[in-house]
Amino acid sequence: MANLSNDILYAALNELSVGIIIIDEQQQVVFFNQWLSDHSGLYLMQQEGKPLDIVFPQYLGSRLSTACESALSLGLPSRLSNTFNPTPLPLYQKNFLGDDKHLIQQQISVKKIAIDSSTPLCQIVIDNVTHMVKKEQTLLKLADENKIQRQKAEIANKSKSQFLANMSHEIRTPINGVLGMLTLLNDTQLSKTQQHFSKLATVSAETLLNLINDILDFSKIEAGKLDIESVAFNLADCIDETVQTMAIKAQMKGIEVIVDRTALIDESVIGDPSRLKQIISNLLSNAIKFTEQGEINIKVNTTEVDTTHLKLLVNVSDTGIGIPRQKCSDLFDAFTQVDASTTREYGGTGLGLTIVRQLCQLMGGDIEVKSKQGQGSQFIFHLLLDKDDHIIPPLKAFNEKPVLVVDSNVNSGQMVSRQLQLWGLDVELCNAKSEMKSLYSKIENNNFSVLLIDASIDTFLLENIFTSLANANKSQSNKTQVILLTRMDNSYAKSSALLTSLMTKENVHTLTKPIVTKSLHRKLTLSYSSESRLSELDDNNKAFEFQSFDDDDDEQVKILLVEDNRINQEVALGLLRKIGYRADVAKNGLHALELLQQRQLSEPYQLVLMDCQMPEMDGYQATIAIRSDDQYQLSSQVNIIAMTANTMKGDQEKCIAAGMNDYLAKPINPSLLAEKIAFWLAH
Amino acid sequence: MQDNLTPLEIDALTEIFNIGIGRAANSLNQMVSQTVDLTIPEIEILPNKEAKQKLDFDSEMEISAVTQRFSGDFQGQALLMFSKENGLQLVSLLLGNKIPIEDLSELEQDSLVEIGNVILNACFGTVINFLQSSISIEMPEFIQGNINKIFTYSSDNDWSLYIKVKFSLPSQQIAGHISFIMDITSLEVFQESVRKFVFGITNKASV
Repeated sequence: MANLSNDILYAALNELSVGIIIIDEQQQVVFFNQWLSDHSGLYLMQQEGKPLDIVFPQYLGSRLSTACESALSLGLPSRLSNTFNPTPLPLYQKNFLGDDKHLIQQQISVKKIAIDSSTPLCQIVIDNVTHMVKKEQTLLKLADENKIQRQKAEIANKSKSQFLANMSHEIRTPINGVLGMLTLLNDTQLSKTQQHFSKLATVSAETLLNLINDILDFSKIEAGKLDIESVAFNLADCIDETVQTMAIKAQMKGIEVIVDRTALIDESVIGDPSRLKQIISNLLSNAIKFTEQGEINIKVNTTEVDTTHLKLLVNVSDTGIGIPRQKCSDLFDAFTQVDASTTREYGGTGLGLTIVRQLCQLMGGDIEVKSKQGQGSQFIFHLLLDKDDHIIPPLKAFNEKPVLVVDSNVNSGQMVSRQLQLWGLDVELCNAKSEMKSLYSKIENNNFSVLLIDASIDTFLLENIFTSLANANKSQSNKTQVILLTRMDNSYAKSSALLTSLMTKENVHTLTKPIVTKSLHRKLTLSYSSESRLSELDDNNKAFEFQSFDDDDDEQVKILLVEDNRINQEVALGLLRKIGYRADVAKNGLHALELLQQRQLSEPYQLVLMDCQMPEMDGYQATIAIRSDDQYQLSSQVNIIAMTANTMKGDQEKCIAAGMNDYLAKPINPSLLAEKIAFWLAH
Repeated sequence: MQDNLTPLEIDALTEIFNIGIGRAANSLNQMVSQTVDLTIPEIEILPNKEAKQKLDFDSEMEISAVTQRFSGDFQGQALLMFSKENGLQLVSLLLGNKIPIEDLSELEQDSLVEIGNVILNACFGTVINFLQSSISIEMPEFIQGNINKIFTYSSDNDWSLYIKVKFSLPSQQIAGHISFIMDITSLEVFQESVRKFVFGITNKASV
């Protein structure tokens, strides 16, 4: 240090790329360096000894001068940030002296120079932060722009959703008309050709509806608008129902559908049953579509993940055309099918599996496919469900004598046997094809409590089985009961005289395939109890009860239909007529209110079927008026069912919030309409 | 430590720090468009360990702090601490920022340093003016991190003069915490000067 001469120190200070000013106790300039000269245009020679507020008038009364004072008097150091003091001194970029556009952005430190021997000095160090300020301004601008862009995108996305909601409504309304009219058309006298045409038109309209549903779902998932529900439901029932609704199509193609849920532990779960149904239906409909013969197996099981979560694993396998290995990977991408010709041959949007995968992922799972061309496909998906505290008691076990199962399908037979064994029964399984001879003697010699027989086995075989059974029954007091496993579509049974005669026998019960656990258990209980078969017949016919309404019973018009669209009026009236009701028609909310008021003193309406979107006064407003306006006091409690093509989430809530009792989505499902009408007229 | 300050002495200390912090408020008001009022509701002298607990910061919470070291009659480190959120809020309120920020930019960090500097200087000024102490003070620095990082350069054996600072802005109140961390020897010197000062004014009053 001691070796450094003043000259060297001077030179060094002048080389610095920061500004340095040194002032004395009277705040007079002692020194400033070359950097400061360069950027202020001042020369030390001319300014030395002058008070700083004379050199820089801005200094007078500034925060910088306060800082210098406290540094000189109390030794307090100060930092002047650029944000609060951007340009305290008039310093400019080189070559732009005096140009306010090129002021240097400053950051200043003020500190007392502590030298014991002399009077105190204060040092002002000025940093040029112009670059940093520019950088931050740019960043801020980008952040702002980004934010604006994001807002724009959000608005665009919202209007997209709104557009979809509107489109769905707009498209569903005419399809409702088409489907409804076709239903009515089918009930009129049609020639064979006309029937054929009308059937094709129905299929096309239904396909179009499914297509729109798919596209809607897909767009909703893409927009992140699809919410997964969380409600308690019975997992086993949900799966059984789904499989049963799909199975009829398979059986019509002669494909066996086997649902095996013997490994299902927990039945009561919390999750989204309708989305689960959607996944299974989608996989099943693909399996049915791509399988010409053989069978479709659905295996279900649950495993415990932790104390509150379950993993559901479902395996849907078929014996269909299969998928080439290299195509398996992009099967789940939107709009891909195995090849373009698939679309021509089998139809479909190519969105189904994409939706399925997204639904699985939304529910904390995923899906994979295993397949070989020509050897069928397996779709295996898993998802997470919450456990429900509610425990469903297991089905009662049986302790009756052995049961014989005769099935033409190996897997189906095995599944039924496994299930029966779980219930504590001894089971003998017989393959109808290979063990014919031993079968008869078995039936005659073993004292079976129940025979489960596949109705689709060879008629000759069936006849022989019943002969053997008759022989066996002669020798024992308890008649062996028979459960015939029939197909859902029992038109073939009608054509077979043998089956018809068998089905009317006292000891013969029928159970439709695919066999679902609960029905199997019910039929067994029924077989073992002494209940007559009459109650069973009742059971089977319940679903068709509504068709037998007698027109005369409902002479007085109790129903008011509020609907603006002429075609939809026709459709609804036609559907109502079919199930034995007549209705008055109002063409909008205002008209409906008029009619309600007219009728409320004589014969008030008991039920209103209300469209939601109508000109002049919509269904929501009309409902609110009925419920709250004193004019309609006598009708204020009338039951109102909404009928609307608005099927976006929240529509149902909107109807209920307006005061309606129930909700029917268009296109109207005739049996659902009948059910709801029967229910609300009774209440 | 042999003698704690009496409640009277603590009262006197609180009083003079409030005068000092009032000056800091004036400086802040000149710097920014907002009106800021600063008050010191509470002063305490306690072991560093207890002072840390008193701050009520979770061990993982991010803290923004401005620190200045001092040496002379007594030596140690002064800290002004905010929870990260409060620090952000204070800066954006004082700068009149409309856009909510998630992190301080480098320049904004610097403005927090300046605010801290003004406040800590006011405290140092009080100590120098009223207690006639001779100390020299370093430039302010910014530290961000959890409480252990903030207190890296102090030990649990040290003592802390803990001062709570309340920032009252028209729309909001924000709390800051000041800790003057000193070793036991420095603390004794400090307390002695407080006693002298209080003795001085009480004597004057009784004359």
